[in-house]
Amino acid sequence: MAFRSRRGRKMGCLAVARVLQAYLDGEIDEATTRRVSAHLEHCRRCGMKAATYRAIKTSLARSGEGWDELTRRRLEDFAHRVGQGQAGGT
Amino acid sequence: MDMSGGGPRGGPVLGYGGAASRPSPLRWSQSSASGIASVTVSPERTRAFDRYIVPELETLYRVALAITGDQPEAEDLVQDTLIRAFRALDRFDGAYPRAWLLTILRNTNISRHRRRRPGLLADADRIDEWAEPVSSASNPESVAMAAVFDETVEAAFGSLGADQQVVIRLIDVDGLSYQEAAEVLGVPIGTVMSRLHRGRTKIKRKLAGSGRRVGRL
Repeated sequence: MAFRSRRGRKMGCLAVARVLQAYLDGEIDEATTRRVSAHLEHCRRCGMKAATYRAIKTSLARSGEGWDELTRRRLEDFAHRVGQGQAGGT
Repeated sequence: MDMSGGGPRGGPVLGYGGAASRPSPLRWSQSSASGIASVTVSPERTRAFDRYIVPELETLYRVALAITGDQPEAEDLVQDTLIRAFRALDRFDGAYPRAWLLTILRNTNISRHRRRRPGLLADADRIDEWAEPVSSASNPESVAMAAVFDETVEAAFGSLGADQQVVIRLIDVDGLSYQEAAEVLGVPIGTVMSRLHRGRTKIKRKLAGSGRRVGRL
């Protein structure tokens, strides 16, 4: 989903707060992304808030790194059999 | 794009039976000994399966784990999804395979829950089962700091409601877009956004309450 803000206008803290989560998730359009980035560079308060949310997001992403080898092998093997029409129930 | 994702598990031919005038790339027969259907599959179908479905296997598993909160349950859900997707391949136009598969996964999950009680990720203790803290930091001090931060975030995440946990996990851990998460959960995109915002805000508040700050742990 792309969120747009009014062109040519600087974004204030409130406007940035409204789209901050979508900004961090890469769900806003390029123009708005640039304007949010510009605000975050100059506003210490919003910059800190964004940094904290980004760190939380990174931490959560770290928690899910990798799927265990056995699970991967089991599912890949099952997928292979399904693709060949050999799995039970297919 | 047909998002129906096939019929009930173990049923007869899906996706091909209705088109009597069209030659089917998949022919089904019933094994009298085992009662398990066996099929003759066209090479095109196998190629399509390998091209569109197999690359999404890890995403399917991660999403299944997020919405079931249970590893064996997640594997079963992925397996059922693969079977349904395989059957529905002839109705897939080749666009947005992930979205198509996630819809099938969601429908499959709903069908499975009709037979059993639902079990969303609600138990904070479950986090230990899927969290594998790994840090890319290069020095021991950074690793320790990241670990402390991760522990705090993890505890805060565990204190969230199941609805917020699932949304955060789908987006932050599994890398789904808002639209994909909305599709998997069967809720409007606005609901995904509000749950995400509320959940992250709660985690941030918990961090503040524990004295953790980015860069100053």
